[in-house]
Amino acid sequence: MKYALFSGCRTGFDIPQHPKSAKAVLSRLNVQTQELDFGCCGYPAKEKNLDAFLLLAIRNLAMAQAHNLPVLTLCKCCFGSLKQAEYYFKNDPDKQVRINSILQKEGLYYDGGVKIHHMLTLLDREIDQDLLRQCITHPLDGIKVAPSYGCHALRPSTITGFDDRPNAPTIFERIIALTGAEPVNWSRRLECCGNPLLEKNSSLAQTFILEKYKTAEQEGADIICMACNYCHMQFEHGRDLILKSGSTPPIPAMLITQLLGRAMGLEKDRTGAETAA
Amino acid sequence: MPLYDLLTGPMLYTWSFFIALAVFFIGILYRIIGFFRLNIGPNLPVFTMAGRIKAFLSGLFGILASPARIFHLFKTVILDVVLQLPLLRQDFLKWVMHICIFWGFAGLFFFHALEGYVSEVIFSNYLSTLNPFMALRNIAGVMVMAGLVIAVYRRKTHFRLRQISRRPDYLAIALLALIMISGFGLEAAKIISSGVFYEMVEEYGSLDEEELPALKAVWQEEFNVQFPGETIEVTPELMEEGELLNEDNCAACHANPRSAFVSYPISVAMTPVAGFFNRNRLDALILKIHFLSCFLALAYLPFSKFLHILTTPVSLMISGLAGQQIKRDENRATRRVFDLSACTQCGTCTSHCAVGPLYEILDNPWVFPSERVTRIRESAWGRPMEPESRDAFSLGSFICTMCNKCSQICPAGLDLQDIWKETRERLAEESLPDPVIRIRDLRKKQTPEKAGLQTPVVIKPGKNPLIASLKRSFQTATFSQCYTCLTCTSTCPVTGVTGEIREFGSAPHQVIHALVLGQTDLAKDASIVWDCLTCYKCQENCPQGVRITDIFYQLKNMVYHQEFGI
Ligand code: HEC
Repeated sequence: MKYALFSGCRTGFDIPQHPKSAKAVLSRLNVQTQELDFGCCGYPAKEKNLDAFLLLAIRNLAMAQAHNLPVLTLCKCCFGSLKQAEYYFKNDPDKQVRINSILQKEGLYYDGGVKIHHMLTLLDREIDQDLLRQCITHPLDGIKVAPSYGCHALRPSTITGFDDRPNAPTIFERIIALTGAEPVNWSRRLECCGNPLLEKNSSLAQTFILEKYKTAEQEGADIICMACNYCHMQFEHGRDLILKSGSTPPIPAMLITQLLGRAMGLEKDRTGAETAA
Repeated sequence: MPLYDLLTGPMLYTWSFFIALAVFFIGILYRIIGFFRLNIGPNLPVFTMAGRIKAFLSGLFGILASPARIFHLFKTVILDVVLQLPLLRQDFLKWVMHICIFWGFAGLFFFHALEGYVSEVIFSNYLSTLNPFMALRNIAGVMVMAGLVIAVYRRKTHFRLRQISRRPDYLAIALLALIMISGFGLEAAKIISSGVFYEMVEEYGSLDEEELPALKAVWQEEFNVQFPGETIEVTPELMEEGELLNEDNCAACHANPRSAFVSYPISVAMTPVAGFFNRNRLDALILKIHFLSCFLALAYLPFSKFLHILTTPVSLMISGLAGQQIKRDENRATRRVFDLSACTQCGTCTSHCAVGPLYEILDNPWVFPSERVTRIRESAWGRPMEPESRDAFSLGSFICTMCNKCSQICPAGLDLQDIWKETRERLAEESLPDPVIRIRDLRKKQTPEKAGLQTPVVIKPGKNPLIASLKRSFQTATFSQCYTCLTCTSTCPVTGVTGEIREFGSAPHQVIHALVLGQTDLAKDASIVWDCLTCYKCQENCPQGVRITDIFYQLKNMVYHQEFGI
């Protein structure tokens, strides 16, 4: 099995541990990854110009098509973007013509059909669960993990197809359970982290992330887990806020690939820096 | 006429050389001072020049004092500077191009231009007219020419490079080409030159007047010297005599010019016009073109992309040693300015930029990192941004996703990430922040005049063309299916936090209903559109399939279009 790894722009400088840990985990699972010259998923351009969003997103799919590889994203926003763009593209012949005529300049072309996975859907649907279980050599027994789902992968569910039950998903819990940890039935697991408003309305953005930290802790979580670059950045941001305010440090928030890395007994230097406990 | 003498006489070489050299040194000094004086980024904190020089020296000392770092430095020089492996990893053709120019030109510079200081010192038997030097000079010239041809080819055929290649890029190529072509031309002109022949005989020949025809015969037949207006009867006896004379007088210094495998064929091609050439001593003219173009390049170096010949090796060393982790702020400030001068406008960053393709839609050259680097450098060195470009530049700067790919891929080892970060801060300082923030502030300013609490909004009558445009898109057309059940508002986490709905625009259903009433202005201004988390809960739960979040996106698109013309 080979996938074109779509790490997402934020991993280049801010979260290098995400692709690093993902690759370490995937190599344990005998999944091969290839890094194409992917660009932005389009998400940051979406509110500015829809065509810009489509061009950026479809360009990545066209690259994957040229290499005949399915795409594997680490970030929920990248995943949602690619899925949505593919949907728009499929349903709008005018856009197809426009985007393809631009892509053609760099020798690319897209006609649909590239498979788009997120790390979680890959682990859940593409990987042999027995193999996954075998790889968990250091089960995280007794640790309670609160999954933060991430909006853009879940919704609009008819387009993203992330979980069969978008209003009561279990995919994240299933993966957490595999590591031996206990998933917390967290009341705010499906809420937004607030990152999209970070610059536009920082007080609102803060409210959301602080609420997430507070409720997760109250509901007994030891660790918050996420599988998205933007969620990760927002949890780091919230953590800084809490530390600055002089309150007791919050529970750690870590990437699912790092959690899996722990459970697989991978060395820290293979999974990258984790948020301090 | 003294001026005429200066321009044509033997002094031309001397004075033009010293002027070029003086310009070169003044330019370099100007650059070095600038590296420590100029600032890329917000105006505060500014370090004093002395402080920055001190920080630089202490950093340098730290490197020199550590054998491990010296070794690392040495490794970087070999792998990145001498062998240019970063280029090889990226693009084979580009590597071939640059290796050809780099090594060909370095060879010519040290062993030909500086022959008195290098070749003659290293090789006891060095003479420019002997082999292997003659052949090597041609090989080096061919390398440079091949490199230049590939460079032009790439800039003309690679669609992205074509978009960003400017006059200075071609000027640099043209100047190098002029030096090379005049070099080959000079060698060829000398080969056929009867003038040089007579000078040589005068200087080195110890032969009688009657022996001259024999030597001429040999040099005409074997060395392709052309004697205008003379026909020499070549007989075997004459040739035999000439060979002996050549052996005695000339051969010690002269290999057969056929080894100059480029210049010699050129000299053969020139034979039809040799008479004209030799009578007018055009070899002297070509000589002038050759050295003047070299001096021009020397003087131009500090003020052009040629500067990278000196700066890029250093930036590669810095990047090899420190990566993107320079600790002291003073040194980071100096590095930013320095890095800008090490950019070669090679376009690698732009070709791989995560958002570069947006140029095709936004028609904004500042989305290209290489274009921004050039402009930031020009601004720093005293050419402020034109007022009409400021908006576009800011937009380009902020559309960058800071993915760090350009810094990781830059073959000159630039820390572009740091330059982008500081430039953004500077832009924010100059009231050109992220468009997202500009729109936020714009809306804040409008709020007081807007309808107050519980004041009924004013509905504008009549047809609205924007509504028609919304209806054309299969996504946004769904708004007309709304029956105002308020499911969206009851699931919206933002309305959940902001509480009671009192003011128009704070709840999603109001926006959709405003559209139903044809009120796009109201919809665009609604606070919920701009405070939307894009979590898609409303859209997910709408029983009527109204794509609420996507409609909000479209409304935001409209405002961006209105405010920034994108
Ligand atoms: C001491 C070494 C020496 C001797 C002896 C010598 N030459 Fe030269 N000759 C040179 C050098 C060096 C040049 C190149 C001068 C330059 O680049 O300005 C040259 C250039 C020439 C050229 C111009 C073509 C070229 O390849 O650059 C001719 C023709 C020439 N010599 C003829 C002769 C003849 C005929 C004799 C014998 C009478 C002779 N030379 C003896 C060193 C010598």
